[in-house]
Amino acid sequence: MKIGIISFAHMHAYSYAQAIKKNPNSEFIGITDDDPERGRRMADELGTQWFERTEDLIAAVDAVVICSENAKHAGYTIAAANAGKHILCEKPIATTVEDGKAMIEAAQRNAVQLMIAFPCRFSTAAMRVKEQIVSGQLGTLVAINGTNRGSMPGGWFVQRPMSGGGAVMDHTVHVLDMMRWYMPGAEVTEVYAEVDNLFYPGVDIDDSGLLTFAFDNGVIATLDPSWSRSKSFPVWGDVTLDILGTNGTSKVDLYKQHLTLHSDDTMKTTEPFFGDDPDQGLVDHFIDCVVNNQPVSVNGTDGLRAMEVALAAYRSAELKQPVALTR
Amino acid sequence: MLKVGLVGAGGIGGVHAQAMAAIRGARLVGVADARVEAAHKLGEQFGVSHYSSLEELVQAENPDIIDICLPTDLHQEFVVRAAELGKHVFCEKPMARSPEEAQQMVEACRQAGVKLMIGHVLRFSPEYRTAKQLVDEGRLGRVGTVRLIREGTAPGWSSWFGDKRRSGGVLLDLAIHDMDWLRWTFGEAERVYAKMASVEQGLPGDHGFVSIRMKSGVIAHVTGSWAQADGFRTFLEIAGTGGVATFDSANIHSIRTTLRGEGHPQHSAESPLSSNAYANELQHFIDCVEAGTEPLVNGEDAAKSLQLALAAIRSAESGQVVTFV
Repeated sequence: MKIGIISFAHMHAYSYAQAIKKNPNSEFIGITDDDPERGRRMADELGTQWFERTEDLIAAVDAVVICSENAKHAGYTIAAANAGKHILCEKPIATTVEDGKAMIEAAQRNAVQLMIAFPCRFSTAAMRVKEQIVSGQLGTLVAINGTNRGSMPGGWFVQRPMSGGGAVMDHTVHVLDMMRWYMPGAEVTEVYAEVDNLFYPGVDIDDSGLLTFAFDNGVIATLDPSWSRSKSFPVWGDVTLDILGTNGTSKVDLYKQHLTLHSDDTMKTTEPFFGDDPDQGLVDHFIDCVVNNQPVSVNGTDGLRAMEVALAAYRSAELKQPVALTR
Repeated sequence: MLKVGLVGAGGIGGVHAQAMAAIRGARLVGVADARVEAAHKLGEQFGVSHYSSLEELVQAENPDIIDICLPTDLHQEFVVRAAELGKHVFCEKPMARSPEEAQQMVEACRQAGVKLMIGHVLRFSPEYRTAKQLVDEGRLGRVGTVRLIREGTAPGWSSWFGDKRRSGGVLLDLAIHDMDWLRWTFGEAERVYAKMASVEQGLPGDHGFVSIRMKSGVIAHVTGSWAQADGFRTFLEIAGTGGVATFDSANIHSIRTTLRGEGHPQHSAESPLSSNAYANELQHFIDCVEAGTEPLVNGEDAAKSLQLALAAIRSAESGQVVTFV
């Protein structure tokens, strides 16, 4: 299966490239990027071909991985779909509901797969919790308290036209997707959110928030998506869920499996991760599904549902009221 | 030497009686409880007389201070009675069941010219004091987000906790600790939104999430739970422009002991301190009474923490945001 990467605007592209190279069923064909300097440099570094024109890369592959700025996801996805190519698109699916729907529609119309990159679903620890839930060990789920904090990424992430939003757009979708994955069929019915710029006053975008959800299965949940990790913090951020069921709790920290490194080189304490790489599982799943013509487990609709909640959070914060989700 | 009379021989009454043993400048002189058996047992344990009512205790021992460790719905009545008897009053948290009750307590103590302190013990707990100090010293820069968790099993030791009309449920009885600490550290709240689940959802007890926006801009998240399968845990995280501070009670033990035991090993973990937070708060009140100074948590102050917790409950019940003026 021939795969190309469109844009290295999102740093996850590097990790996906490594995963493509490690997968025995895939061939890493090349890179295109609307920042030619960056694209050429990455093609050099990864030992793959540089494509000046997006359409040439699309023509040369069976599938594309899109790691552009969020606002450009739709254009690239629709172009690839119309060329009959499968798509693995970085999260969030898009920056508007219209774009998200157009992407899903284009994939359906062209009978290609559209997968959204939610690597948390491929974390070994997160999958183990999924097993606990499916087995009924925890009883019926009642409440989930989640965090997905991070560092302020800068660059296009803090330019609203490109990103669609700051921390809330960037970090709501992962944990929201995990909640939907843990409760198949359940959807958010109401969102209340506090959203603000509290950590980086020089940056004109939200960097902090707290979301409170109600799901249609009665589950209540909260999520902190803030870019609240200081420069001194030992890691980039976290993904945690405290899950409360009628039979007990399971508290998962996806990056708990780490050493603690005190380094004189950096004069900073860090936490090198020794757990399994979720990005490899994500890319492997995409390739398996395309090769075997099976539906991907995280599709465009999953991406859309998660983004809708992030957009509702912004509306709620503006109104200072809970917002009902209707679709 | 000031004399302290304890009213309420339940769980927290026992904790206070124990803490009194280490207090300078005061001593426990008697225990009163309408449940005579409980009063008798606690009095015997600490070598003081027991009584079946506040009035009997006051008549026999003439204490300077009354320490109220009764269920929440009895606070107003007993604080007012103690004040009318001319006694300084220390009262367990939460202050009362309603702002009106709290107001009556403040008024009664003011009229009687006695001091009133409410036992918001986190303000005397070394980890929470240190956390506030870090904020005050600017060590975290400007604070943006705060996360507070207080979670444990359903309080099985006494049935009144489970009766919402008496205890107010987990947000009023437990999460109020964190809400009071938030107010103490960051000032007043602007608005509150909360969600609750409880026995109706099949849980062993209440579980609540509270989203609080402070007037200072800080976004705070408070979890209060009586729905855990085991244990008790508190967690604190403060994130600011200059750093992040965290505390997790599950990970602070300075001593972990494992004994071979009889057939199966026995594990224990300790975080010993020379004086605990309950002794610290009682000592503070004794010192205030002696020196004639105002306690750190007076009635007016605690009434605001009560209002914040009640606002969270109102939000959870109504589904509406509660905004403070």
